[in-house]
Amino acid sequence: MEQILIVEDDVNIGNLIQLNLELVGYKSHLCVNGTQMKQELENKKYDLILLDVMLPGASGFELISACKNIPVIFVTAKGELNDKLQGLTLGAEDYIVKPFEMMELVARVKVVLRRFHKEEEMFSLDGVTVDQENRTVEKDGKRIELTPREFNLLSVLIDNRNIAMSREKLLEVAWGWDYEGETKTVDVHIQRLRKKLGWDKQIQTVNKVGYRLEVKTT
Amino acid sequence: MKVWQKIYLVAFIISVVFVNLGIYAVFHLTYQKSIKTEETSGQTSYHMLEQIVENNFSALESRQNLNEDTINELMQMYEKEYSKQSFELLLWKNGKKIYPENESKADKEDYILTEDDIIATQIYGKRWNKSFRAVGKVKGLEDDYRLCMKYPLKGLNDTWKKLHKIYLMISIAMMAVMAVLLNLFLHIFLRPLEYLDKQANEIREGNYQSRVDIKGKDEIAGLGESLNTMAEKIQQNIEELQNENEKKEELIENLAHEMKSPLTSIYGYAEFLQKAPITEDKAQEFYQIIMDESKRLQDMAYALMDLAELRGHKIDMEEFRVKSFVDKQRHIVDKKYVESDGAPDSIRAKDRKVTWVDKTGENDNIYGNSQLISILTLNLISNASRAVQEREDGTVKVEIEKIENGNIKLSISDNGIGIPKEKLNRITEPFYRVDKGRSRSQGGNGLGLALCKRIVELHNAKMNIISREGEGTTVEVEFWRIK
Repeated sequence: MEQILIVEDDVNIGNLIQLNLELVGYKSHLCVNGTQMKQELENKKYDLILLDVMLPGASGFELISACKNIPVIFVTAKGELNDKLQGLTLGAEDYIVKPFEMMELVARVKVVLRRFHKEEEMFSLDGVTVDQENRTVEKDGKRIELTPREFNLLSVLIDNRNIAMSREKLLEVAWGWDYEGETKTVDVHIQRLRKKLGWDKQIQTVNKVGYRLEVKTT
Repeated sequence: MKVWQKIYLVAFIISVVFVNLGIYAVFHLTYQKSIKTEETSGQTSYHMLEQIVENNFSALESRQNLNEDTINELMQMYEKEYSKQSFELLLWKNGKKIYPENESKADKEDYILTEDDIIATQIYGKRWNKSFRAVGKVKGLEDDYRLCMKYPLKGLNDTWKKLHKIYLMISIAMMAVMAVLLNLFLHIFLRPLEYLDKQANEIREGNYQSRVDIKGKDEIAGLGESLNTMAEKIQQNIEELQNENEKKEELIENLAHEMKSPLTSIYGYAEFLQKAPITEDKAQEFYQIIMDESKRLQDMAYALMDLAELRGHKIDMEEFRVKSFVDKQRHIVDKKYVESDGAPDSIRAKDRKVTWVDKTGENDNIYGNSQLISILTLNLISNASRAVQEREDGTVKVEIEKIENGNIKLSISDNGIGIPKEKLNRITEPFYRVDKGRSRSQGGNGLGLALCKRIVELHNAKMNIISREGEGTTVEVEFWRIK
């Protein structure tokens, strides 16, 4: 299970990030300044650090050197090109500017974790196992055949588990289509996935929003 | 036409005309004098000749020997005598020319005399070809003998012809020299003017840095100085305006930045509510957060509006009792007001640490706007409360008293985190924070002291901030008792 350390002094925002991460299946810990961060890093091993730049005392830019070899993503309100460049030059893996959308945060975290091979390959839910790297699906031990489109859709649902996504969003992220209309095909594919995987309950229809793959968070 | 050309032309013409006139006048007068002299000398010569002729002719006549031949002989002899001077002699007997015997024409003037028979003398001829002529009657003879003597004034003519040439040369030379010298000196004296013109152009084009460097004390130098002063003022003004503009831009940037945190929360939690499966309890929590953060934005907006509104406005001032004012503030702080009178939330938590010391009398007044002074007081208390937040034994003291000059002094002091010396002078700038992170997490928006400063300015009051890092801060404000 991936462990992510969040360093953010605004408690509301820190909580928000934590909620997001846990929603999609990551474990996280929140601290509010550099001192706490250093302490945490002594005690536990983390796979990723989300570091705010504007902290009381030492800033994020100053603290990155204390992050040892753990990948760092800066999360901050300072969105000027200079700041981004500085952040990346200092060694951060990525730079997210507030305010951000849930899916954006999740996607960037995932990308960095994958880059460092810290992602868990296999996803299991109610008898279904999905290997995202090899693109295979097994249900109760038996191989299930999915079309490429179906698999992409499934992948997006898994990556963004517990987050309701609109049909347009699904179209865009799963299949790279960015036009309106033709969202009917999403419904059709969702139906197929439900049927093939037996996930009628797991793939939820969220009223007025879209679809969501519900995975119980611990 | 340029100025220097105008001056040049006029100066040149005037000088040429007058110098020439002068020389010519002198020339002319001297010439006239010379002519007079010649005339006199001619007369003398004539007289001499006349005498001789009279004597000779009389002698001949008395001997009955005055005839054509003898006259001819005599005349030729005379002419020979005066041949050096090129004398020309003519003789008339009873109106008929008898010498020279040839057919040469004679001028009327060679013969005519004035009424009373005195000698007529004349200088005649064209300019450098003057001749002298004298006509007179030979006295003591039986017939009317008229003698005419004329000769060219060689000396005069030569001399003056030469002089005339010289005069012309001088005149031309003088004009040439004048032309050159005038040109040179005009250029020298007027160059500063050209220079000024060029610099004025520079300044007009927007190059406010340029200055003129003209030495001397004349009007042009004076003009140059004025130009410099003007450019200086313009530059200053522009710099001031640029400065103010920069400050305004910074303020706006800061504002935009400050807004990002509450906006992130509001958006984030709203999105979460929309997309994630959550319990009703959790949802309620999130709704509250959204509202709190919205309120934060609202406070920020109001504080900014206050700041903007107080810009350059006259406020209503009156005398009001200090005691009742202090009681009211105490009331607000004690009562943990959230909204009214602008008391920020953070006061609520810390009011237990606020002590009030009121050393004013029953009849002491403050002259000012009680609303605004209230805002100021609560702001300062709020800041002090935040400063002691992390200190167990943190205290905030509000003291108000009347000082020697009769004014009312309000002091708010704390023993909290203090302000570093190097940051003290910027502390009243909008959005300026000593430690951004800490301030934000405590709910500050960086506008409190800017607002206080503005209120102090509007009251013509004085504000003094004394602080030691780690030890505490005291803010003193002195208000007028009366107008």
